[in-house]
Amino acid sequence: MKRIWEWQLRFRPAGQILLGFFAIIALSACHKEPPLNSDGEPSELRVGYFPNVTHAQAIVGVAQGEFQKAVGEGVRIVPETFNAGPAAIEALYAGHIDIAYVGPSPALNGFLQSKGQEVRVIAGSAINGVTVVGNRKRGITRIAQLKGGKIATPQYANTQDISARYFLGVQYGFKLSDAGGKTDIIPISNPDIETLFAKNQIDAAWVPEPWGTRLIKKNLAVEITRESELWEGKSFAITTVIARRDFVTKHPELAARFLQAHIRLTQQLQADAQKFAKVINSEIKRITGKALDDDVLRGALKNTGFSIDPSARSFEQYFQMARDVGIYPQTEFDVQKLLYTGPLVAAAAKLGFIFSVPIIPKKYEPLKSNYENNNAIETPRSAADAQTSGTES
Amino acid sequence: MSKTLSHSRLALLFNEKKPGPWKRILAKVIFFFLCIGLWQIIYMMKVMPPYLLPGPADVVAKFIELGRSGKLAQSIGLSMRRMFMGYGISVIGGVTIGVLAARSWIFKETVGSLILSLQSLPSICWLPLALIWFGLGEGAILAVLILGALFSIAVATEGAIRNVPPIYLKVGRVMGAKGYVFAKDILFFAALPELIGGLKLGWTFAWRSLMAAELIRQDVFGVGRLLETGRSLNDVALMLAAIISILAIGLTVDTLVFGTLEKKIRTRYGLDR
Repeated sequence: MKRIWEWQLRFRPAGQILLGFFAIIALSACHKEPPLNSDGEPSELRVGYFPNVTHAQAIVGVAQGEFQKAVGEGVRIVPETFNAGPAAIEALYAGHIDIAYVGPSPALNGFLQSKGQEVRVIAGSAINGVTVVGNRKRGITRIAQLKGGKIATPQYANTQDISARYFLGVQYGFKLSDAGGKTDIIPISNPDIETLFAKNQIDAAWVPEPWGTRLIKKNLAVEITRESELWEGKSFAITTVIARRDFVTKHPELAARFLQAHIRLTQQLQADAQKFAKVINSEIKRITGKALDDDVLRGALKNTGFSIDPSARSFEQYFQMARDVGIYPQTEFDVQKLLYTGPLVAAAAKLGFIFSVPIIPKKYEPLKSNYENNNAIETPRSAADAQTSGTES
Repeated sequence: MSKTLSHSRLALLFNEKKPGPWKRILAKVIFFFLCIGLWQIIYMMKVMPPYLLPGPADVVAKFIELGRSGKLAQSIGLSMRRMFMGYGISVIGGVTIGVLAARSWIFKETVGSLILSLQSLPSICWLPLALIWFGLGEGAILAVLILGALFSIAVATEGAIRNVPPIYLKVGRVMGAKGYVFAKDILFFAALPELIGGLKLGWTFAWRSLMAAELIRQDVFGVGRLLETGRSLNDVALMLAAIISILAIGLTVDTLVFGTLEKKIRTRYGLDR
């Protein structure tokens, strides 16, 4: 009897630790999904976005209640704001959000890291809106002057960071500091970039709106080029709409209703983005506590385009770029698996119009690449094709 | 009954006979293998998809990948260089301030009280200001590291000197020790055991501050940055590899350097056998 006691006492703390460990794992593992409503749809649709100009549809859609109107009364729209892509992807992985507005790089990353299990791109949102700006005090106005210089980007491996590394390191052939060269790509947050310009410590920055306009308006920087000038076709995706795979495959009709609002908002923004300056700014103020200067916001809206095209071409090229600069170890990527365009096509059909932009361009030309196995996708797809491949096989 | 029970429980937990060194190492090894085994079991139970909770094998593969590319060695090298520079400065500065505060009342009332209040501020709070003042590169990170370690070393040094039994000082004086000789031969050795504790604490603070700074600042390489890179890429295996590296470095320095030093001194001073 005594022996048993001893044994129990001796190992009880270990048992408690073990139990606690299991409890933590079990708790953190549970995906928080809202209960279904009487129509068999989730009672909540959780939408993630950033309080940024490049996320205009989400900002306006939440503020004006467009999303809520589109999805109907049975489903409540729950907005969640984030500061950066990785955090949004983390929340999506954890099942805390269903739809998110993020850049192509986090979307691609979330897709690749989960081996295609979690993320689907369901629509395009914003295009262009990235400016390469040079330090005014140092008189930097051309890309050629960036050789051997310090160029800031907002975050390591984010959309602008990959572009900067690719265009400067591969296309222009400047040797980057990672590879033992002199040209230094420095990932540092946007407000810090402004500090570094003020302190005259960097040569250039590769930044999304509104930061490009802001740096120029503050007389700290001058425009070197718009990133779109460097791209084939002079345009690229900067924000896309992604969805949790589990959500969008189970509830494609709900996603389609949401996208109806997204399409309408995109059309309105395409027609006159300035009209929304006021509501966007008041939302930015509500979320971040600080409004943008009016002229900065207007300039930023002018530099940003809006499009519902999910832009397979942009994803293909971002993948190649990230691979070429050594951020992705993968060599293969199937853009068709990433896109899930069924709901978008259905939403557009409901609204009674055909895309003004093709879902996938007829001609696809890969960028100049270090890799020899440059398999461009050449399959042109019509909207009907997209619908069939949109249903998960 | 319950009283005797709790007694026997305590006795079982704390009053065991001290086993030999090999037995202790063996116990440690077995325990860590059990932990890894538990991790593997949880991984195989698939409570989470493998890209959220990778198994031990994935993390080992990540270590091999990092080792091959030289990234691991580069990151550890850079972090350790910062530690040696920043910690070195902190030790010199902290001990000087501590000695002055212990021996001069006016210094203690002025600088000493300022340091005591600054010590309660986590040094990572200085990072935003450090970036504005020092800008890019090592300056800001070193500043945060030094601010993290310096004050705690200063406070510990002052304590160590104040806690020297007065009898030692009196005996030293009687035997004619003065000035430099007094400081070197009496004060230093009398305060040494506690001083080492303070230096160890300083190291821990410095290491924590450095990791926090590297996590936030993305423009410099280092082990902390490795963790943030993992986060940027949603690469959980990389994040775990970085955490294990950080843990391993902290543990190695703590046990190998400070543990050995402390043990030697304690044995020498007859505090330990």
